[in-house]
Amino acid sequence: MRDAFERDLVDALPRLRRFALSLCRRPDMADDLVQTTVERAMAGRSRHDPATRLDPWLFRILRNAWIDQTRRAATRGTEIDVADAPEAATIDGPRVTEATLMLQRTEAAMATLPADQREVIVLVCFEEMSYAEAAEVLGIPKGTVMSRLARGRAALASKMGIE
Amino acid sequence: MNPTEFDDATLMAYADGALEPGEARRVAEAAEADPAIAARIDMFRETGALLGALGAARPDEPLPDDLARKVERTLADARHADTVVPLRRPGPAWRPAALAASVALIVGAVGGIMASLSLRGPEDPAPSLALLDAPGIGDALDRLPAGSRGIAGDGEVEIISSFLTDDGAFCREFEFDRAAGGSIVSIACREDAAWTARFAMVTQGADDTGYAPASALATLDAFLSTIGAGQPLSAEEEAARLSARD
Repeated sequence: MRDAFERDLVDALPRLRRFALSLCRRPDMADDLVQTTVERAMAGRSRHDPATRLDPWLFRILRNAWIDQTRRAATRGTEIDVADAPEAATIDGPRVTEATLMLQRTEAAMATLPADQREVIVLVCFEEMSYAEAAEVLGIPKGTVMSRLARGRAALASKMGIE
Repeated sequence: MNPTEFDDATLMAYADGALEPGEARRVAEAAEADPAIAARIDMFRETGALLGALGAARPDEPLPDDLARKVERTLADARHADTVVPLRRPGPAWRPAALAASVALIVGAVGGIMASLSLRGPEDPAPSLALLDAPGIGDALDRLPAGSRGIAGDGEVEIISSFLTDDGAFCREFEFDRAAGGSIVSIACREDAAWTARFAMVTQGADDTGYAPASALATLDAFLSTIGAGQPLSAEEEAARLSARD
């Protein structure tokens, strides 16, 4: 029988995995990150304030695990293979609608943005976190999240010919 | 570019509905007066909608089986660590070590009310607070050291801890898991060589042990403090008490 914390944790796993994939773009590495996150979350569960949402807390753990790992990978000189990025899967089918085309264009434009801007977009626009929650995940001030996100969205708009 | 008195972050926050009402009003007024501001806000609205749609269109992949299994194991290990280690935790922070989750019903049984409680629903015959009458439970309380389990009645007894109350009564906290499902966490104290239930918490969920909700723990804490429960006895103290029966 799970308690509320474990239930919320399990509930967040698909979102955590998706976030992990957006960071590392490798399914095996993403799974390791999620597993590490679960371990650290269970060990540190007393540090989560139950009055706040669990997701930002978990995302932060995962992101820190990712940073740890990339640091280690950097010293090992390991290459991260971007080619088999699961997000690169193309959307196709017999009916490519206007909306689908628009999404593809948005995705393509987003892929050209700097990583720090993509990251705030993922947290705020994809995961629907507040600016403050995204700031908690990234460990940066809320104002920085806002200016970064605004820059990213303005760049996206100009790449897509909006405005 | 944005040539207005409001920076992009503020206009974006306005488009996202994240501004304080006062500031939002000022931005709205400025947008009404200045088409450039209105256009900038529209741009943020549009990118917000597009990115939101892109986020919503992401595949909702289930967890790979392999990962799901690993996570389950991690959760089980953490639970195990939590149920085993604190049995003799020092300090006044009393916690039942192995409460099944979701408490269905709580009955303070000071003095030993022989109430009949439904464990899982009307279709399921209920164990009652007369549970100490079930064959083997009194014996298990006499015999088992804290942290161990034994067959008793129509289920298993796990002794969580032993302690003395202010007035010197020897009491034990234990969990009784019925084979048919459901469990009770109880405090029983030995009075005149017989065990009397002083507290029982009927819990649900027979399939696994887990954490009790904090509110349930608080109830047990409150009860323990009202009877002046002392620190958990050491293994030696407990053994001495158990052998001194009768």
